[in-house]
Amino acid sequence: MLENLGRFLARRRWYVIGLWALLVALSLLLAPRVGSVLRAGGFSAAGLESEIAFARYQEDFGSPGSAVSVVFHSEELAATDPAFVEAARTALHPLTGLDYVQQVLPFWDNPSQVAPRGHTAYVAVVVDIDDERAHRIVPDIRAALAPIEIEIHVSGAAAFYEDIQSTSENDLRRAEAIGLPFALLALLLVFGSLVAAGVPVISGGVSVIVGLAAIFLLGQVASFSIFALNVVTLVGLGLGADYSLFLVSRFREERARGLSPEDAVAVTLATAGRAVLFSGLAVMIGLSSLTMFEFMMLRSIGIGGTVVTVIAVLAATTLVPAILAVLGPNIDRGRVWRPRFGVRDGWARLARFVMRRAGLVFLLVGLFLLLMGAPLLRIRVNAPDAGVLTPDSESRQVYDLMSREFGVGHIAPSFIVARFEGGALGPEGIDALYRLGIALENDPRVARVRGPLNLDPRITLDEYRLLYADPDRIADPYAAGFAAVFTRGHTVVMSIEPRAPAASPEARGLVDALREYRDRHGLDLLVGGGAAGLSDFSDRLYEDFPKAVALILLVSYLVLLALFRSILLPLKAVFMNTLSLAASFGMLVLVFQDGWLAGVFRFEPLGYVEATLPVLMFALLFGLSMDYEVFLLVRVKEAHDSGSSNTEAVALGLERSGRVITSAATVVIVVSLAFVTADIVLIKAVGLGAAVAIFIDATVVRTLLVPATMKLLGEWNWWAPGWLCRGAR
Amino acid sequence: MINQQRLPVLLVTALFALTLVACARDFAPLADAPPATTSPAALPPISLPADHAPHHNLSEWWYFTGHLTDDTGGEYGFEFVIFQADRGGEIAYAAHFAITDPAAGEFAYDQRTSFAHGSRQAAGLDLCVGGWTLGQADGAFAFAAQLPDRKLTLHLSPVKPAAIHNRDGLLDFAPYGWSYYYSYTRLDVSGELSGAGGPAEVHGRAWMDHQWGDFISVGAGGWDWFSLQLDDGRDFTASVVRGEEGRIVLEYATFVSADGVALHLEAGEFEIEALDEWLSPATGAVYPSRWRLVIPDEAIDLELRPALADQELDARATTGNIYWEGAVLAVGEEGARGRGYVELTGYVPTATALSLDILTGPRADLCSGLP
Repeated sequence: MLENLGRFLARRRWYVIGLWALLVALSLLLAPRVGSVLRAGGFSAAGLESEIAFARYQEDFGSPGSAVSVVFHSEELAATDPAFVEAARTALHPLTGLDYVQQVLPFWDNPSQVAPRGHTAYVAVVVDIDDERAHRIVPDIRAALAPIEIEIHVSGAAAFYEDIQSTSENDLRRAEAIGLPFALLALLLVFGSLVAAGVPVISGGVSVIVGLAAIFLLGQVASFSIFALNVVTLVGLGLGADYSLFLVSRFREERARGLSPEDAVAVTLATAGRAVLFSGLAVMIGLSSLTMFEFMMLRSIGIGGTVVTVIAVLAATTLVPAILAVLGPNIDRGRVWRPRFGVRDGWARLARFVMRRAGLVFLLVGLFLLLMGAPLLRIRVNAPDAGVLTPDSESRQVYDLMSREFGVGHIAPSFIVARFEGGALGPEGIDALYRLGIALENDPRVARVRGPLNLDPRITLDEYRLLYADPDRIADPYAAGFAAVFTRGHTVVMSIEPRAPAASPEARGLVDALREYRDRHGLDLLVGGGAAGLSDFSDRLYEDFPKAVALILLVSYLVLLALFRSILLPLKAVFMNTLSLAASFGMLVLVFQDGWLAGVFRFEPLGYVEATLPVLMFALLFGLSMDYEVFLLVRVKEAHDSGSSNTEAVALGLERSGRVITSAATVVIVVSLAFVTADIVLIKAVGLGAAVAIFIDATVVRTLLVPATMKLLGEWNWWAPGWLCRGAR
Repeated sequence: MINQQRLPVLLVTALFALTLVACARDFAPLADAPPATTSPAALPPISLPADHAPHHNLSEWWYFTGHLTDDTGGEYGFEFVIFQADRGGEIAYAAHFAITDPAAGEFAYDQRTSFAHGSRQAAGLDLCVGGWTLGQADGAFAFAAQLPDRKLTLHLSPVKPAAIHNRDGLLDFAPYGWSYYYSYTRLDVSGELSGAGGPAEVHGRAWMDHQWGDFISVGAGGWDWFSLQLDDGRDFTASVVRGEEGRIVLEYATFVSADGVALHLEAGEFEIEALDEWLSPATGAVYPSRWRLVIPDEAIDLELRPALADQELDARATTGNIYWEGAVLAVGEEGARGRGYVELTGYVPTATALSLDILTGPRADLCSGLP
């Protein structure tokens, strides 16, 4: 069927190219607008306690609105100094002209907005825009602030996401600027001609442009994370070039055998094209598993990645054959150098050498990969905070300043929402909240508790009972103020600022302790806010992760089962892939958790691995690194089907696929490494992880482990029950 | 062979271990702690002048009330007070300033707020709230405050030693906390009052109360406070604290002789009876007005008459309450015998909460070098 398709494409080559040109032209109108549909956040999901807590808060207290913080700092002036206040007033004055600014809550009216040391203060600018879109107005607010003598920064979640998006876009431009020329250079080395090298570049570029346009269109009906941009580009560029490379390579091989361009295209599509289809399927399986997660951030990357993979496969199996048919003998035009073509004996010799010592190689390589993967056992995952940005980004600098001046817990406090039948400040509520408040204030993990029963630790339970005896006549204005802010009817809220960052184990442990306290005392209480949100996010993520892993493994196995018509071969492929991924994950722990080579890669070690990274990496890389195994085993199977023995088929397979796999892996590694220049640690880690996983896969696994296991399994490699073989070629 | 085949399985297991690690965290339960207790038993005695300065206690205030006369014979009453509320190290200040001009039938007042952090409190009494200042040096006090059309700058020198209330200066409100309390019941006052007609020298007599401690609410029903300076040199103060239902829950008084000896009076040793009521047209509150004060042992039987009926302050913007605080004239059978001030709280049906997110108050100019 693919062979016929190849002939059809070759005959209708100009139509096909014309259609793609039209698609690209339309995409060029839409792709630049993709930023407008990208959203911040995406780390929430229905059913999480922290989400329910926030919903309950909104239900009883009303929506708090989005807020952007404007932070002022001066080492010379105190925040209470008239000159400081005047400067802040001057800076803020133009904001009154912005129609979406609802309210400005100044620090000179609220002591909690001035840092204890007194030289840093912030103003909350409440805006009439939801959280997911609030980041878009940050540049306007930054531009509107009048220049003043003291330090001024725009901060908060919206500014953080705005910096993520702008940094992400810069990262992308830099990665493209670095990755594309290097990929082209690698392709030139592989093919030796500008034309041949240009085809994968065109295919990769087309995949990215059409992919981004597709994201823009899908973004009209679904939410897409700002992180999707980089992943879509990396996948589009990598796969587009990779798949095209396999086709161009096979086409030249077939042409060298004397086939006409049309015949060569047909054979290419029937062989390499088939492998591309299955490889693409493997990548799609991995990426689409991300849609199992409820979090928009992962789901949108899954959708975006799958869509761009489909486009890359379509480009490779339709556009590239058409281009090849047009180029025909001109594929080698623009020769830069003349690489030695044809099958080389070196790969086969290596395969035979390995297979003679299969047990030993398996053991040594297995141990080596296990050793590389060992750091995985002490992985600490955590949800992202401002640490994902480089220290020179404004959000990160303000985050560091605020952490230093206010304490880390002030930036992202946890909160509880409790309901009491007898009223928020009824006898039951007062007693329960007072005891909880005392327990929290005495806990070393807690920096500060704010609530109507936590005005000051010196106030006794009896005093509170007296104070709140009649909620309509609270004698103390401060207490009355707290009651007004923190209670509504039967509901009361308390804010808890941990001493450690919200992403720390201590802060997350505190959330668990609060929930355990709730259960122990039978309270109708929900815990939300900073640490709770991160904790719930990680918990749900890793609750769903095994299911996603199982699905990826199972479906990948079934796809390979269909491709190879063998029981053990797909199983072995899945295991090999898992091994290389484990080694790559181990590397990520060493680099991003422990800080190895942090100077080289220009980042500050987080002390943990960002929680979405293992999930994202597994989904992305399982299919990506499966590619090479598929291309190798397709060639091995071809040889075996042609009558070669198991050992000989392995040697021939390795020999025939050796150069092309090395080339393809080099291109993807180059593209991936370009993303290591990113300023966002998450993107940097994806780039490095992909490069490491593919490097391991294309070297150690392909050349050593696969031949060793193929030898060890012997003819069992090809065993399949009769029903499975029916219909096989 | 078998062992070799197990290697990938081990790897997969290791990969899945990630799931377990992801769930690990530092869990330690919240301990059920015993409730905090406050006892004044171990507190040190009042030490002056050190205790004039702000303390790190829940509540504290410095009250100055008095009567002034200018060169033309014009008489004025004044109230100047700074409140300090220390809540977990965040210190909120509020200040009220009022001038009563009985001849003109005018009562004018204003209010200020500011805040500070505990760590920045200065030694000594040197406060500034929204541009109004209060200081103490060399045994005397000084304050300056202003209304839209008046400004008062006063220097206040005690003529009697501080009266330490309740014998040792400590009031035990158990279970609702405790308080230190002393007063300068008689201070000579001189200064300047600026108004529409320009500045005028003023002199007169004032009363100073300083109270601080770990109490937040004593009596949910409000209180009546009286200060009286008799022309014969004797002074008297009393506080009557009401509970929720209006029942008197606490009553204490101090009598100070002309030579400055303070005598604590128990409930029953004095009697205060309201003789009239005044309905506030602004708030609808009904306040007692005009009182009979009897101290049998001191042969005192006086009527306290407000210098003006309307001396009500709506302080919802700063301290969140509405109260009456006004100059009174003490009249005996033989005519005027002294002057005083009376404070009445808890008579407004609903207290208004201070908006906590924005500790709002009139936009005040903050003070340079605020403590």
